[in-house]
Amino acid sequence: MKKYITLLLTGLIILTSCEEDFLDVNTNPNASSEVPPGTLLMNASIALSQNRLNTLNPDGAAFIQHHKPVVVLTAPDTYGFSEIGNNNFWEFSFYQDIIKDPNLAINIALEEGNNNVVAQLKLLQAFAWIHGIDRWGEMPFYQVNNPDFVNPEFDEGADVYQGILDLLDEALGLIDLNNQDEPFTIVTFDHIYGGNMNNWEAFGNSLKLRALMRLSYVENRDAEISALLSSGANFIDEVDGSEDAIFRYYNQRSNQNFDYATFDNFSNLGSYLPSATDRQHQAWRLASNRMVTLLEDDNDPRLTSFFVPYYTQPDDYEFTGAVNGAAPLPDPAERGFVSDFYIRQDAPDVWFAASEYWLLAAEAYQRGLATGDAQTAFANGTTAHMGIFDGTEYEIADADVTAYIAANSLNGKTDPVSFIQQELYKALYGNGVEAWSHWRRTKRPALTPAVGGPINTVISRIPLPQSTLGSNSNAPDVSPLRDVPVFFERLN
Amino acid sequence: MKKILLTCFMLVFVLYAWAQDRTVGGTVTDGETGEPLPGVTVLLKGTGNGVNTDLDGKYRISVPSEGGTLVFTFIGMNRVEKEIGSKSVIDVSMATDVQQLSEVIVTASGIERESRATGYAVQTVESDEFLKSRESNINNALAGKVAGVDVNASSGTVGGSSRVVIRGVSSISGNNQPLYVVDGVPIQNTNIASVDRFSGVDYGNRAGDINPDDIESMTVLKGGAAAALYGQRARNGVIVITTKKGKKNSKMSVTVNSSVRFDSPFRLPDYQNEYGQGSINKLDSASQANWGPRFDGRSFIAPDSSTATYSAVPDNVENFYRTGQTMINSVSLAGGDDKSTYRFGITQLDQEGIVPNTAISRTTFNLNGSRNFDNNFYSSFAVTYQRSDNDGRPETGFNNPNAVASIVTTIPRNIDLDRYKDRDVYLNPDGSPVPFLGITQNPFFSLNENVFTQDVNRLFGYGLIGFRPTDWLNISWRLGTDVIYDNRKQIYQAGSSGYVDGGLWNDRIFEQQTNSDLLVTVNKDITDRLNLNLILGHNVNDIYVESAFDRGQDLTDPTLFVIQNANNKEASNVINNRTRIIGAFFDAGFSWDNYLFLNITGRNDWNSTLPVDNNSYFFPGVSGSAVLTDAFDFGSDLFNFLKVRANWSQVGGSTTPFQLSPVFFPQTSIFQLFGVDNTYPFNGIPGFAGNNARANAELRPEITTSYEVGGEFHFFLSKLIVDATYYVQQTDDQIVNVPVAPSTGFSSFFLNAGSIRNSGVEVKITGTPLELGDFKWVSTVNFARNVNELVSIQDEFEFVDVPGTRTDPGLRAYLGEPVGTIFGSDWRRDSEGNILINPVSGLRLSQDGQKIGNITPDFRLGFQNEFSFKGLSVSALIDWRQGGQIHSQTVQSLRGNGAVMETVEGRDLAYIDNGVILLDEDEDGNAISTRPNDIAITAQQFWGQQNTVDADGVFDATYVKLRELSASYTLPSAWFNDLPIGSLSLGVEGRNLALLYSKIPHIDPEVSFYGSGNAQGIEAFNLPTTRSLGVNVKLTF
Repeated sequence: MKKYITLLLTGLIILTSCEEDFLDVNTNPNASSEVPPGTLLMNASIALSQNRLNTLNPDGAAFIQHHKPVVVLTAPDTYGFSEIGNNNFWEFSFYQDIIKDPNLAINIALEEGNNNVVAQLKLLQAFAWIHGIDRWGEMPFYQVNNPDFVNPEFDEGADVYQGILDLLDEALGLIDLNNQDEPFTIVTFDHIYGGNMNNWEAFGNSLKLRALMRLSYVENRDAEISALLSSGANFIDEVDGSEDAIFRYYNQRSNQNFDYATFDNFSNLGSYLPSATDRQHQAWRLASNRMVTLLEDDNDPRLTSFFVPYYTQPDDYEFTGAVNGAAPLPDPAERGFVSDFYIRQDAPDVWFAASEYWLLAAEAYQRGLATGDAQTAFANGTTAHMGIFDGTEYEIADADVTAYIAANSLNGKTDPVSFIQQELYKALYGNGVEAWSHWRRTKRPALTPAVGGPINTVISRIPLPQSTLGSNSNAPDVSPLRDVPVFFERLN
Repeated sequence: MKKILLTCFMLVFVLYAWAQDRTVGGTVTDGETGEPLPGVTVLLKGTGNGVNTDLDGKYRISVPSEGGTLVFTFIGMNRVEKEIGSKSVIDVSMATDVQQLSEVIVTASGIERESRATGYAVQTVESDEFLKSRESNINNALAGKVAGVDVNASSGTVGGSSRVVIRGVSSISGNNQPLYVVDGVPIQNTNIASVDRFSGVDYGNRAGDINPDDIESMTVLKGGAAAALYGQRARNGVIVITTKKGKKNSKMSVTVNSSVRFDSPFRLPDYQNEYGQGSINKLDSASQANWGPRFDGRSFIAPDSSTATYSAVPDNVENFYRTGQTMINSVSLAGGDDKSTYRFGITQLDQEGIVPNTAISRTTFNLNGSRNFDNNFYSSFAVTYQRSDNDGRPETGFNNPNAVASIVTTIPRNIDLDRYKDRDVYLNPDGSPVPFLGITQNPFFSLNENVFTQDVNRLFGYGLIGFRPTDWLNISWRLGTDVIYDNRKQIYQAGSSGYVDGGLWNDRIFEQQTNSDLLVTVNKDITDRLNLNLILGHNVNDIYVESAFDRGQDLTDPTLFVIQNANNKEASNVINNRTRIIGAFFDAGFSWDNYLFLNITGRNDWNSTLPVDNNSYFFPGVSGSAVLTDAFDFGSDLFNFLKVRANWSQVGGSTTPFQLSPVFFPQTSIFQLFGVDNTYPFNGIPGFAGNNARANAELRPEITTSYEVGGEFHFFLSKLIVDATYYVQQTDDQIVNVPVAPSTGFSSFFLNAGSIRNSGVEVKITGTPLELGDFKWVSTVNFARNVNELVSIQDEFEFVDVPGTRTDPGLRAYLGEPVGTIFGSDWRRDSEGNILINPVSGLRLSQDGQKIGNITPDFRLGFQNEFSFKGLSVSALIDWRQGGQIHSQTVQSLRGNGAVMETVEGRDLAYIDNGVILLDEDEDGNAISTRPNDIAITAQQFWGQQNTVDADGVFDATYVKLRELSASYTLPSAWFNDLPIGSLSLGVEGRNLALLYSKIPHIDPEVSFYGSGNAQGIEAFNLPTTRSLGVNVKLTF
């Protein structure tokens, strides 16, 4: 019997000896170990744009009364927000898609010395950080995505803004305009500028201006603002919009505007009037009383570009704005509705437009933060913004543009700074997230807080997501509430 | 059965014999049949002197002249002792051991072992238990029958999932369900979800496929020791299923079994019928809530534009559900000669669910056979093929217009659903759906038009060849496989919410598990009293899961639901996961005189999912038992069998594939708020993303260490049997996907972190209170209490999320607490516990992130009574679960929208809530000053606010259910003497008949929203579970 046992033991050894190869199955066949950095830039960009279009813009626009949401997603009308959406933005989109993944791409690019790639990725991150810190007021910045820190510390808003400015300088310093080819630059996978580093540089400098102006009521940044505006640096300043930083969408369902998708997917539930099939205009975003009054008071031609009357009414019908918050709505036929210039399948997501550059410059000049002609800058800003409707049914005639500028000469204004800030409030229509930040900074125009919400002021911040309070031992025990002003707010 | 026992167990031949004064002889017979019993051991008590009976049951033994006592023992028979006195002939009739003291059980890898020899707790459920009260899912049939086994059905969905956990949860994020082994081959028990974020379909777990008609027995091996030989997969216990086989030397028999069963909702909410649709006492036909005026019979324009009467429709929800019906028919043919066995069975199950237009049909073929060859080789095989067709499977969840239960359960009291069920009502003339109650979807449209399907083809079985060259050596190789192809399709007609131009999901899942076991068994008597049973084994296991998920919308032909027809489709999302394990093991079993047993086991696993340097790990085990009544003469009739047992063992564990190194995943679709439209490539540009979970190249195996002590005590000639076990089980170095601060750039880290400890007692008491002639009453109590605790965790963390919940409330494991803390929002309170009230609105203030309950039960108890008289048998099973909590979204919603009884009171009155008005608070939100509440609110506000806070949905999950009531009657065989019928039995059965006690209103506490995963104790618009009544006819030819 011994021979059987010997045979069996030998057999067992043979069976076990081929285990090395047999066990080598732990590599995921459906994932890559290294990818082109541009694919991560793309995913980070679209993650940011999706959040902007689905959540940040509609919420911001409702907070500062650019429009009034009805039927669906009405919480922001009274300063509500979605806890799940807030968490998803923080956890998945922001710190993973937008911070970590580009960091991985930056590591790949640094290994190969592709500095423009690094600059493109860092500019995107800097742009995104502004969204984060403006929303939450405080958040981990300096210790994020670093293996040494399991519980990254929270940084104050002012510190984060300094970090953003440093990040922008770092990125701008890396740009080499003489080498705008692959692989030194992301070209074919760059959905924003197609590898045009002059435009990326303009975007970077424009973001610097935005950031410095954000601080301008709480910190003395005059020298930096002045230096920046007089440096001759490249800005997004083409009034025809050719340099604007925009994330484009297309007239096809697989590449369409995320905000439009919400309306399109629920057309059978009444998102369009008169009907799903015979749609003429959307039904769930109404002209707000605040914006309608403001435009009417200024005799502003943008009124009929922003809004359309009820579909049975004539084009020149004078609709009534709906008051934000708990208030009776106008009768359906008397309402105005956000126009399909803004809610359409190929509506672009505007990240930074020339009108913003010019109106920020105009404010800086008017406030004496820098030296320049405020009137010209205001005129350029207005021309640039009114020009966005060119070629559509909402086009504003050049004569009307000229007339508007002439009628609103800054010299004739008792408070030209407030007027310029109010003009940017208008020019940021459709870019609700930046409009909300801009309003908190300037508090112009004056808004009556919506009734029926949990707070008695216009919302100042979104509370930190519950999940991060629980999972990060360095997080505050409780989040500051939504009526606690963020650090850059002008308080008068 | 006894013949099999004989072949399976090595007899102790007693060789000692020395000169004696005289001899005694006789015949040993089976008391039941009167046939002689060969191989019975006859021992002269107190000596080593003994013989065995010969083929004719005869024996002859030398005894001292002064006499003494003869002891007769035989497997499966009660031990008999006879005083010799002056007799020279002692004939003995042995009675069958009804309590199966010496029954053989099947343990690892098809190894059979006498139950008296096991050093761990084992409990077996025989086939009759599955057939007398039929459940299409065998897991559910275990409820209340095995101590320490916790069964939780998820919902009333046809083919829905059911979770089984033995001795508590041992892993936070890993699998906690036992390993299922059919005829020595591990099979798949996956519960793969095809879900989106807030809703989904319960596609069942695959152990539910097992056909009860083919089961001979289910043995539950509870501890780690019981399963050391299966390696890590058996850490959570093993359910060993032995299928029916043909019997050797038996004539061919045909068995026909037919059952029909009727299902109805087990529990529906207690609705109110006084108030209807609307808000603030105003009638609103578009409202989904019941805060309208009191019913007064006025006319109003109903949501479908018809004129309706404003009055209650008390049975509107009940009438939505129909009587479900299940028919199970099986035919089997079995037999054998002296060398071979054969069995073939076909079972057809057809079930229509209680939800309209949901049905499942399942056909099972089972074939097995065995053969002993002349040259000491033997072979056997078994193969089961199944096909399940599922037409119509309701979408569950909420926030989803396609999830019918959430819409139907809270339908306004004045809505007569019957009016909306016809196609020409829910469809416009152009075929588009008519919106239902404002902005949701008609449930009949959802069920009749968006028909979700699932087809599962499954084949499992094994082939075995063995060689038994001598009487002490046995070599066998068993190769088994389990192959599943699961094809799911969810279709959305044009006009469905989120699918304006139609759409579909198609998920094709392929699973395969292949297992090879090579066993060498050496069984030798070392001395005449000491026996060695040594098993050397080699095991290879390979599990492969492949899934290809397609999603598309915007259909060109709106009636063609194939992905090619979708104008907007994302690339297939493909998963290919493979796990491989190689194991080598031994099991050295020693038995002394057949009453003292010792087993030493060891296994080394090599696992593909761990880093090469850490992928080999050894785990030992030792167990022992002693049959005290055989070892000592207690000289008392009080107890006739005493066995004590103890064991200690370790089991190693690993993780899921691909967690060791960071990678980039190609992206297919882009998350958006509603639906999915945007897909990659975007404008021609592809997208990639990194891991959400941080990879870890230094993972180590996790180790579960357990010990248990227990015993089996038979009193009063086995009229009272107590089987008790105390166990402790601790899993250290748990591989946990620990949630971390997202600002690290990750959602979680894979870490070896944390230890979970389970300890508890299990008691099974079987008593025969009354036995009079042919009448017999047997009572059985199964009791189990498990104490679970997270005893340690990595330094930086205070808790670990239990994965699987998708929205609030969530589940967490906190240090020092049982795993499964319910975590969500609660009311704010002052230091004295008063609820704080908003000074403006008079409504309560709430706060997020509070501990609001724990799902872990205190104990479970099953109480079964069986009465038999000749061929008639009646049994009842009561199932009691004590403690633990459950969160019910349904109860909160029902109250919030004023649909249920408790919301009727006080509608016409102003109500001042209990609590104090918060006037001032510090930075941390602690109340500084308050005043008594004096702000009146309405009933609508009162019940509305409770729907906003998770704590108000947490209830004690205690229940007592009348789980089973059945009666069966086997007709006397004498009636069929002239007919070709062997036996005929009839049965009536009821399952889930009554909820005898429950602390939660409106719903069955025994449900789980997230299926059979670790996220239990959360209910959200689950489909009602079912109450069943059925009849069964079994005919043998």
